[in-house]
Amino acid sequence: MESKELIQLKNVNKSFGDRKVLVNVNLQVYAGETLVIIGRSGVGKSTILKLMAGLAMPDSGEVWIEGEEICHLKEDELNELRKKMGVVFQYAALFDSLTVFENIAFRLLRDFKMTRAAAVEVVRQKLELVGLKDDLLDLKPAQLSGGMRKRVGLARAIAVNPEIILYDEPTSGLDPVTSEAINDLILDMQKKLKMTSVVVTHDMHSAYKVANRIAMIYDGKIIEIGTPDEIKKSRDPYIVQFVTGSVEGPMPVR
Amino acid sequence: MTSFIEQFGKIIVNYIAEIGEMVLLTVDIFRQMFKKPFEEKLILEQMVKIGVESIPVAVTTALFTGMVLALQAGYTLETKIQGVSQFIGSVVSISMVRELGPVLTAMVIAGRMGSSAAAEIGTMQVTEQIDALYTLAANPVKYLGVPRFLAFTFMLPLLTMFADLVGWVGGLVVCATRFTTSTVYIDSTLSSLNSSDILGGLIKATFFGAIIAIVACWQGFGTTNGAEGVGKATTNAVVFSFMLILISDYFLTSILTVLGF
Repeated sequence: MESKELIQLKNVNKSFGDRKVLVNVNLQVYAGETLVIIGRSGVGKSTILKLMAGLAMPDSGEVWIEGEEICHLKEDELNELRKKMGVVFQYAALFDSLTVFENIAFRLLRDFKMTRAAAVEVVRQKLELVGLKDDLLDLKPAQLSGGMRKRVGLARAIAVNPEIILYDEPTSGLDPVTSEAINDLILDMQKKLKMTSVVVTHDMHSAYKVANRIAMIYDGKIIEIGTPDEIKKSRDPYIVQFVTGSVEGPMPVR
Repeated sequence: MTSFIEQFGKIIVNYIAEIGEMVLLTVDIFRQMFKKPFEEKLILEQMVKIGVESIPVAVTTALFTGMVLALQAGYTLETKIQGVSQFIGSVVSISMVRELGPVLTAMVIAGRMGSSAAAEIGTMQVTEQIDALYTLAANPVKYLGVPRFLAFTFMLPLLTMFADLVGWVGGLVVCATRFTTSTVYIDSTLSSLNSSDILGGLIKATFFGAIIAIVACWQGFGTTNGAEGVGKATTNAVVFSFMLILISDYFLTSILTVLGF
């Protein structure tokens, strides 16, 4: 599985006000792998995702995507790079004012200048991939359930066949059955579409299922990175506490 | 005493920072405006929402403003000065066209559409829809800001024209039924109202439209803290718009008077 690095964080520091969220973080994501980032809420997991998507800039350090350092890119260049990347947001972040079709076809119609008929074809295909029927094309996001919204968000992210897909808490707030379906989808995306994925989650079941490698982040640092088996066997007290979900351990319960 | 000075200083610094943010946003809006692709569909959509759908409120406001103006002018001219009620037409048309048409229309639109624009963008901000726009290679200022800016700046003068006309008609009805005749009212208007009065009012309306759009977008994009933040942004959008409209009204009027409007 290990091949060229598609995403790289080099000595990244990021603070919000006085709070240091990331401290000298180094992280590589290899082509074709699924890297899962775990850690407690508010430790900077989502910030890593935002840095990779170019939604936030590091205070110092470098973010490399496909051999380009993105912090120095102009907006147009960054947008060009973003065509190779899909982001699935925690609460899907579908556009309320647009229909399901318009949401999924957003980039197809705007950037790729596809005709409506051609876009409908692509959207149908993507909906099928995420396990939804095409009878909800004309619905607004408010009419969908939480699970459906996440799937539509995923369909929107993969609409332009990106090479990289970033998931922010893909299973949070979903019932176990839907969560499992989303996990299968993430695995599917990797197998069928050969996508490189970064998943941020605190759902250990999901992490073990979809990950090739798991990175545990605590206090702004990556304290361990390894295969799911290595993480399961780890003796690191922080990791043991986190994966077992225990209140006893080195991490204070705030 | 020092704490008072400190507080006062903080307020001033805050104000300057806020004005700076608004100026930067304005510059960004103008930069994005001329970048391709042009969002004709979104611009048209906003124009309908802000312009066409606001006609009923704007017109109702103007109608009653014109009517009450005629009533007050008639009362003043008849009882206080006596015998000069033939000037009601001038008073109503000039105050309407130069001042009340633009200002009241701007306030109604700020309350109705400025607030809703701030709430909409604010909600998109706190639900990560703005982030989503970035990841889908759409600049939010271009996608949301530019259409609203163009719609507000173009539609406000148009709505003001409607308001001017309707307000004047309202005055005519009151004047003709209570004071003089409609012919006197019309003659009085024609003898004193210039096209530069109307144009000056419309120039002010254009500026007010820009103010409403920029304040609404600024508040919307700056929203934090979930639903509470959206509420705050919405209120702020209206309050700031009102203040800036009234403050800029004085200065714009001074400048326009010097320029001969």
